Amino acid sequence: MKVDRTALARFAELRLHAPSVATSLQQGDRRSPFLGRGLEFADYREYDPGDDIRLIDWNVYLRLGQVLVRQFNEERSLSIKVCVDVSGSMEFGEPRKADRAAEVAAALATIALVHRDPVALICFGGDRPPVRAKAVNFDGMAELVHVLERVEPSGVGDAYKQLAGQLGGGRTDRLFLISDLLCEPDAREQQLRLLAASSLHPVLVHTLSAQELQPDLRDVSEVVDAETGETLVLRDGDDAQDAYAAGLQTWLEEIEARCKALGIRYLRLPPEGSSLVGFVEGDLRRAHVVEHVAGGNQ
Amino acid sequence: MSPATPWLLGLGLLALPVTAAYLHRQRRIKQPVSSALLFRVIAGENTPTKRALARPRHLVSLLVVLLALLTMVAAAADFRQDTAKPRDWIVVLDTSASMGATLLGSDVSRLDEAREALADALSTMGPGDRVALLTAGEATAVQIGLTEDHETIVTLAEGVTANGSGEALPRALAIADAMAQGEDAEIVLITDGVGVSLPQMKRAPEIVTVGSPGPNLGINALAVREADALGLAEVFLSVSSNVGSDREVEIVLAVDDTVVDVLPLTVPSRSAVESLHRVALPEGSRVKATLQNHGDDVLAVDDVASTPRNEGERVSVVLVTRTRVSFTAEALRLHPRVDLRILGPFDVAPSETADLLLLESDYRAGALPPARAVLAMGVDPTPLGIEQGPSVPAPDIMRWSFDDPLFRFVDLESIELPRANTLRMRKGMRSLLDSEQGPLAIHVREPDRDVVVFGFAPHDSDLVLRVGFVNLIANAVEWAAPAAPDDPGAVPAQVLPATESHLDPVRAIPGALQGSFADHAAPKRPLWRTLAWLALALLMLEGLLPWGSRGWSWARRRFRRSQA
Repeated sequence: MKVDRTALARFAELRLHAPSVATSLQQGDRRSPFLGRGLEFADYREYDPGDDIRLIDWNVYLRLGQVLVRQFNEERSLSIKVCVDVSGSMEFGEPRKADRAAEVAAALATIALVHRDPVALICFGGDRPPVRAKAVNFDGMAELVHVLERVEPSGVGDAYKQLAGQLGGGRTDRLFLISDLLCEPDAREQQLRLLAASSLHPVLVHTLSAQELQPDLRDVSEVVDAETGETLVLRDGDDAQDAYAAGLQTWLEEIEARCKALGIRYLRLPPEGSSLVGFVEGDLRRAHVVEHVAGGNQ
Repeated sequence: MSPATPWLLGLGLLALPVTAAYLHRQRRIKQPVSSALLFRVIAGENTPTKRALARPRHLVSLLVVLLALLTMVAAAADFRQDTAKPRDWIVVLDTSASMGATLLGSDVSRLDEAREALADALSTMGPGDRVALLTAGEATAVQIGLTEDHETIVTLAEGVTANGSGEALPRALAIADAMAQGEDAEIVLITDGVGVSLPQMKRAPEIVTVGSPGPNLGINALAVREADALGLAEVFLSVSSNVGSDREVEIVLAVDDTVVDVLPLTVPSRSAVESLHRVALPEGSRVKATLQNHGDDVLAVDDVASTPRNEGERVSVVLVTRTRVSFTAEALRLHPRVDLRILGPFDVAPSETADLLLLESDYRAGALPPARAVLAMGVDPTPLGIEQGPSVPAPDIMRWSFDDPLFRFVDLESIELPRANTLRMRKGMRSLLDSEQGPLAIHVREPDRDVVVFGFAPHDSDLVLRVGFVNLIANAVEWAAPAAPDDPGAVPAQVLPATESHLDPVRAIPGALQGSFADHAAPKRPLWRTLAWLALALLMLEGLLPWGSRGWSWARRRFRRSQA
């Protein structure tokens, strides 16, 4: 897949929005539910043998005679996972949907790593084993981009199984799924459920090409599924185009409604020809997925 | 070439199937898609057979293809015209003297440039093109009629020389106009434009101009006239210049190749100077003037001029006088062309008519002798039909007609005139000499003679002691001399007119065209070739359209993949 590295620097002024406390084990600059070492005072507790005596509040001991140690709110990082669909269907479009997806993934990784939020990148859905890469700071950004550029969409595999194997049982603060979801309804439902179960704040970036949104079927008599090889003879008639548009609309609404029901933030990646910067700084910001480091709406 | 030619029409009719194919396309494409999932809603059972009408966006492609087809038809039509249709060219080559002007510092003349332009144009003509060659210099000449033998045209053009005044050019153009028949005939004038004016023509000629400006001085007028009985001659010269500064030049005068005088002249910039010299010329039949020491000069032929020496006919003069040894008689005897007969006042007049009757005394033997011109000086003018006025002592001469031929080189100012008779003017008379009291000399033209009457006798004054008197008598002889008959064997004057010496080429002549003959000399791409390239470009443009041919789309996709 292709990634335009020059466009990534523009996203350094953004950071991922954290709707709740950070749960990553890595120290960062976001508030977490854990008490321990930090700068922000949280509470007292009684001294237990083995506690660091530097944490004992000697003023309280002299005044009350009780040995209490101070507790602080720990600052952790957000845990981010970005899952990119690399099945054969992502090869369509000009530029390809896979390339657009790779650019979105690189943009999200940039936004996260600039603020020391660790990122795990998972490429799944193809006929090859899934690829996983992780970076805990910006030094790992080059490796992530390299992985994205190395992976090419091809064939089709068991997306749910691959995704479940990579996500494991833990929950992630932010989980992004970048896919066209062009699979059977059962498989799609499994993926959405897994997405909802793997994170408190999952986001689906739905990627479709212009040819899929408005295909030119005038001279087309048959279509061949690039992933499965299934061949369909198209219906003869002037209303086929309208029927396709109606079916597509129903399909999109169904996915959006299902995402809403499962608590998944649904975002549609604009088709090729539109600006990626506009999507990141516009759509993702309006959806409170990213925010400006200085706050504000602009 | 009419587009109705069958095969051109057939090419044009290709538009119909092309249009039908665009408007009525078969659905037959098997297209790979990312997923068949979304297409199930429009899946059918059988392969569609219905034809689909093209969308409007295909109309753009159709229009481009039709435009390309139209361009191809136009290119084919022009190709036929370019290759199959011969043309007639009637070439008029200006061979006037100005065409002999050379480039400054070079030996290449304008005529050489004209020959080169003609040869270049001929080399690019088709074998069916016919060319005629006319030259217009000293005379008009049809060198050759319309012929396809272009080599002969070049050979004939090599043989012509530049001379003459160019007065033959209008006649040459008139002949060319008569020779040009049909729509495909063109008249071409190759000239430097100097002194060229077009006659009334049915077909406007195309002009091909040659030459470039250059400095030139030339003799544009040379005339010689016997001035008096002393052997002096008047030489009239005109020298013109197109140089931007004054020039000091010398004119070498020769009679029959014998140099007789060198006349210095100052020629002002971009102008002409006229001068009259009195030169003692020896015997000879031809006078030649040569311009020398005038610096850069691109035209040599106008630096020399020659003219035959016209000595005139003999003049029979009858002098009526009281004495045979008068100043007047001596002046007449000295004149080389005078046959003098002296009569006394009572002598019998001859019966034959004289050229000049000169009355120095009243004739009392009867009627005046017959003559074609009468000059009376100090006699009673009544027999001549002129009334005499009162006698005036010592009159002051206020005016005389110094432009009159009778007074050439005659100075009447401050002559000592003790007494004179005034004359009475009547209708039809012209005063030649005026005093305060009235006219002293009158000229009257009668049906069979000219009469000039002076109210005084020259020998009563000091006029006879001056050289002006000899000139006056010589002028009277010339005035009365009969017109010289044309000499068919004489060589005419060879003097180039001023229009041929003003050498700045004229690029545009009113009534002339700038056309395709010059383009032959500078070959250009034929129109059909340009149209063919345009048609090819249009077809490629159609292929590059987003909805163009599938083949191109496939090539584009493959190229992008290779780039990736």
